[in-house]
Amino acid sequence: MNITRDDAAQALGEINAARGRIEEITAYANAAPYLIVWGLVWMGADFANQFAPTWWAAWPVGIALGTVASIALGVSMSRPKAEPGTKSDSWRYFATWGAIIAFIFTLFLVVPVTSNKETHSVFGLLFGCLYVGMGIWTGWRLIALGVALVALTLVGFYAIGPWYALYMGVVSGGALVLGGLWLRRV
Amino acid sequence: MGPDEIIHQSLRLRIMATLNALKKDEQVEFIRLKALLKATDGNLGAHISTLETAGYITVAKDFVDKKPRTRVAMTPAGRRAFESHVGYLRGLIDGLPPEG
Repeated sequence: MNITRDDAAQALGEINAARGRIEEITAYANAAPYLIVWGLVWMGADFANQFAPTWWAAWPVGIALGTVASIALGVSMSRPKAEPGTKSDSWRYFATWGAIIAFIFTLFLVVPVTSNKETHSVFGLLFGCLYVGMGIWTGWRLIALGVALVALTLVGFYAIGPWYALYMGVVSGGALVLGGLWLRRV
Repeated sequence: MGPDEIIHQSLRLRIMATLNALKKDEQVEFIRLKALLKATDGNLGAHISTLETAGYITVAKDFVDKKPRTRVAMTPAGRRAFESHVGYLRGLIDGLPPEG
């Protein structure tokens, strides 16, 4: 069998492309359940804000439930794939989520927000930008999802009046759920 | 070590590259592999059969909700052969003389 340097370069290119593709698909598969969980949290908390505006605990309860669900997902997804003798990276995922949540709460300590609408918008913009950042490293679908989330949040902030919470629940929460289902099908 | 003639064929090379990117003992479904590699049933099946005969991959068939499911995974021998072949290709590009 005679393989030239050009053949070898082409073969290595095919190998890299195939590896990149499976890594992208794996990243989508890993992200999908988290998107669905946080989309449901978003929908539930915003529906509560719209229809029970005096119940202040909707988002704290939602974030607590989402965090517990994310930890459970992280444990269940990392356990069967862990190879003997290798260290699990699960704590990094938990720590990353913890850092994001801590950032949001500390942000509100130093940046004054005067309305629920502003608070909601910060969440929408932050998570939209996070998905764009994740997409830059994994694939265009997460970038599209992040851009959509940012755009929908801005439209809601400037164009939607008293039904803003319901809008964000349906549109932004729904976008995350549908995005998660979309990534699962890839 | 020289090139691995079984692995070097284009579709088999991409099958092995895909399986090699998975974790140890992780399987991928035939239908997903087909979509990833943009291959046809017959073509992919034939090349999987060749790799299985060589001992580079394992094929597991079962039923889920009464529907047949085929899953493919790389064997340790397959992983070694693939890495050896990639090493050979890199050596060619770097201008290193073949070993052995």
